[in-house]
Amino acid sequence: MAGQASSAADVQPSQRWIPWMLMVPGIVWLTVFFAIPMFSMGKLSLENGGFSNYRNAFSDYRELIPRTFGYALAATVICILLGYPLAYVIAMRGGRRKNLLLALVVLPFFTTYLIRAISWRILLGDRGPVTRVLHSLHIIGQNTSIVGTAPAVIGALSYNFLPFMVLPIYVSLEKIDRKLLEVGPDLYASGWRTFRKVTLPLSLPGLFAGSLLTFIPASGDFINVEFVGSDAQRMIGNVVANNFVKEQFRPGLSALSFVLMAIILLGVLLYARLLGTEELV
Amino acid sequence: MSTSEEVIRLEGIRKQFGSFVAVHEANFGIRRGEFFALLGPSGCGKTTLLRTIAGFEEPTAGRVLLDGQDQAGVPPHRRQVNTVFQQYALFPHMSVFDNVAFGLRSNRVPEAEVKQRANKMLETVRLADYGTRRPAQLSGGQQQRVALARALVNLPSALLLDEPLAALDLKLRQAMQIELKRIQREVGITFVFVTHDQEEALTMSDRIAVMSQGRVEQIGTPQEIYNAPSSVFVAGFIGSANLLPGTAVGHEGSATIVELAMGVRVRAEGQSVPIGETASIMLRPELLNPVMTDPGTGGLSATVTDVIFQGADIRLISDLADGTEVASTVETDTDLPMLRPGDRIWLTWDPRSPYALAGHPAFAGATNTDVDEVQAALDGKTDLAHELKDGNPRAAGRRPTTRRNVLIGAGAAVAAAVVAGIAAAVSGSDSKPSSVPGGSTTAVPTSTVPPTTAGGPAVAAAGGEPGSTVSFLNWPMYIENDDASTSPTLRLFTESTGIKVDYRPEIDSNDGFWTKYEPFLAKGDGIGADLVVLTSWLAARFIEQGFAQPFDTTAFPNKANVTSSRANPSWDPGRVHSIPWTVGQTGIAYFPDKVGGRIESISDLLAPALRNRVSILDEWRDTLGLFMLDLGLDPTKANLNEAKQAMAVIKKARDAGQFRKIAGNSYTDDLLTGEVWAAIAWSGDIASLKKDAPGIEFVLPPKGAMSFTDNALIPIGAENPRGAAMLLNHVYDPTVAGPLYEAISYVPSVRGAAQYMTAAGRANPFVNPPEGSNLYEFNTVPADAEAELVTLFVEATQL
Repeated sequence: MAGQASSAADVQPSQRWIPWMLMVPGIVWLTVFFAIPMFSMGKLSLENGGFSNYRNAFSDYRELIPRTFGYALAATVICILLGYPLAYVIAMRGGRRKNLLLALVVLPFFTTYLIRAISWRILLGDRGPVTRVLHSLHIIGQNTSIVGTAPAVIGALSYNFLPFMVLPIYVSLEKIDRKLLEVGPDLYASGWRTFRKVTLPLSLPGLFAGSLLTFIPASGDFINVEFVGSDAQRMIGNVVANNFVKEQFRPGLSALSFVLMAIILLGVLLYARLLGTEELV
Repeated sequence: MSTSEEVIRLEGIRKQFGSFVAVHEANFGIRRGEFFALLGPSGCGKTTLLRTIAGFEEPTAGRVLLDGQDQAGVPPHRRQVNTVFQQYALFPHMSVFDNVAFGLRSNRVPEAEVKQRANKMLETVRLADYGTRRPAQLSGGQQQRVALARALVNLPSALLLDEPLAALDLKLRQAMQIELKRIQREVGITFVFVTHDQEEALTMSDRIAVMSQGRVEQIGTPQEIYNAPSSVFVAGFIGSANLLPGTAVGHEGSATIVELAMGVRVRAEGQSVPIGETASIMLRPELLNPVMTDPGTGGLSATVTDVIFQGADIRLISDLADGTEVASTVETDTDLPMLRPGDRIWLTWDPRSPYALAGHPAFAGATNTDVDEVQAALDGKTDLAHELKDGNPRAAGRRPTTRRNVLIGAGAAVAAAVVAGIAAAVSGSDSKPSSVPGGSTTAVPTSTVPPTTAGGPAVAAAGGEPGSTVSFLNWPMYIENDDASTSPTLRLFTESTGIKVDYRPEIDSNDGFWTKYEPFLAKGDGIGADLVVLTSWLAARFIEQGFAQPFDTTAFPNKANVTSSRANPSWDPGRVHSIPWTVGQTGIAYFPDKVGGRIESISDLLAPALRNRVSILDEWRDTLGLFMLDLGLDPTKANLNEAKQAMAVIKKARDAGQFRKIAGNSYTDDLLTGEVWAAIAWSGDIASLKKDAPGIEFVLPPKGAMSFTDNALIPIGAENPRGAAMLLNHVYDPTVAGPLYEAISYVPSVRGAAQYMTAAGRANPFVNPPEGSNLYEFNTVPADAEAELVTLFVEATQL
């Protein structure tokens, strides 16, 4: 203790700038590749019509905005429902096989995003195995396809972002002092109550991080709609991707992008408040 | 001792982890209201025993009785005992009050009572004002008391404490020992206390069970254990003791005569050791009396090796004649002279003091409380009981840092980093990869860096020598096999001229091309290509902006072979800068078997039966043109109002869910998978598709279809404009053009090409559209009108 305290005081004045120097590359990087593009996007979003671009972004895309966030939200919820139990079992019961199981979760991500999207299309396509089985079992009609439906898009999004949910949750579960999980039962709490009152709250930081890593990219995704969706499932990302090449749409699309960002930011803040994450750790 | 008084009874408890026996056999009871210590070195099984009582471990054999009830199969949360864990294990995310209230709330005690009891317990542990704090804001001693309160508030039959004071420093530990005793007296609850600290056990306990290597060695009051230990181990473990090894040589009443190694005989009460067996004499340091003169008999001579001042007394370490180390304590105000190492002394004792024990100590002579460390070192199984359990956090924490473990850890970290990288890569919606297989025609540019070019002279002068390579940027399926090495046309070119072709079928959208390259061209820079192919409307803009070079006519005499109808477009009279590469039509592709009949017009596409089975092109010129023609309007001459009429039709159909996709090149995939049954389509695509989907039909609606021309141009900054012109000259040779256009199924604009086609090629409607086809082609549209049309189109399609 004393050693730590004195070591801080012992730092040579000439070495004080070292931590600042370490931050310089990061700051320069963010300035050049984040702040400046954001600024020029902001400027672009006000061209040809100023703030009316923002108003128009809402009215022009009133169909797309709720759909985009609806899909992203649904994918996030599915990722939580699938990913939490998975992370829980790996962290709590994985034993020696923990690293192997984690590697398996990550393994599909050694292929490119596109290949994964395409493979989903093959899987769900009208002539794909899933559709055939459902057809032959008469679960869906002969002329009904799975591709081009909201569940297909949400499913593909969930698939593609699942590891981003699993890994942070795993890390936060792994960090929990196992003693605490014995304290619950010792204090008359059933397994469920121990989970609800101890395990779950202590893993919220991971759940929160995982949700952001899932929800935010899912909100901006367009690849999955491209491959397993149809016109009726288009998301904001598709509109931006399709039309940004046309010059006259750029201000409007920049405004739309900022609207997207603002909604995500607001959602994140509400979510943080809901989970009480700021009080943790 | 009547069993009804016992809160806890252990009957034949045995606990095994694999082949390791943590507890051999435990048989004892703990009385109500007792302060009971389980004392022993690390790894002796005391914690395992405690966990067995709490229910965290099921015994391998034997029974645990709580209040007379067999606890077999009863989970921890149903047992009326509570535990104070090592390191407290407070819930970090709860306030002190919520921690204390946890057990009561688990038992659904009414909240008013919870409040009253928890607050009262916080008062008992002197933390009444700390209820709202978080555990992290408390000192170690305070956290300890919270842990105690959290367990005690439930008024358990017994409180189990697992080394509760181990984490505290000495001063605090001593204070807490007194505090614990006080609290125990106040609440009157049975305490079962695990410790390796014999001093702590002696200070606090009513009774102590001393354990070693999974066995209970002795159970008794502190006095019994201190004065009459049952074994050499207990004697050495409790307090400090001098254990002098020897042999039993006789008995005198209840006493045993032990002959020590030096030949001295000592009479000692205690265990009765059979004659001839090894025995030890225990002499507590405070019972040894050092003197400076030889007492004759009943004393041992020794040499002082250390004199330790301890405040109230002095500890004297000396060696006996045989080297055995002996400790003795004398009061500080002794009348002995000041001793120094090397001084000769004699140790004497009261005849009642020696205590006989069977066996020899592991280390002869003085022992101290550190014996547990020695013991652990001896048998080398620190915490073995826990380490043997897979996944135990303590075991994991102690896992040696082998290379393998480091590698596994690093692997996990890399995996995490890879995922994070992927997250970063996919999160940006504006970073669509340029090489989307079958993706839309309107890819957002991924980078603004132009493709690198092969080295060589920056500009080859017109009429000069051509460069060694022509870099050709074209659309997919605009040359045989999309590949320079297997395309007969290009192979022939290289063979006859020695110029290689760097063929890149990378253009998938006019808009995308423009966005990607316009900035470089605007600065007058090259784009790393000698030849590009653009649809007429963009070719016109390209020329207008000065981005195209005029052809080197000396290298391109075959330019004269261009068909007369395409020789003089308004935007490039005389074809100075551009030459048609392909001519195709936009019509309707469909599967008659799926659609259930013939399709001849756009109106047919809008039939309710085809709902969600139709795709239209996201290129407004093609889609809008066909819809206008269907309304009887000429798109090449129409005004904005007429365009709006067609837009309204598109919008209505789109809102009704008629269109499954509004897509670029990828519509062919949708046709191929059978997802889409009918589509607005480009002729050349369907010609290629027929190989994979023979049932597909392509029609040009009689009311009119759109035609398009894609033109080859040499951009400014091209490094090999002469070579590029030579390549065009090669293609405009009808003997080359015939087979090429037959292979790619586009209409040639080269006069005489048809003569060099097979009969099948000439009969192919894609190469040779039937006479009387009603074809229209968009030329340039004024920029403001175009912007308006695009806006309307995007509005109609919600693209």
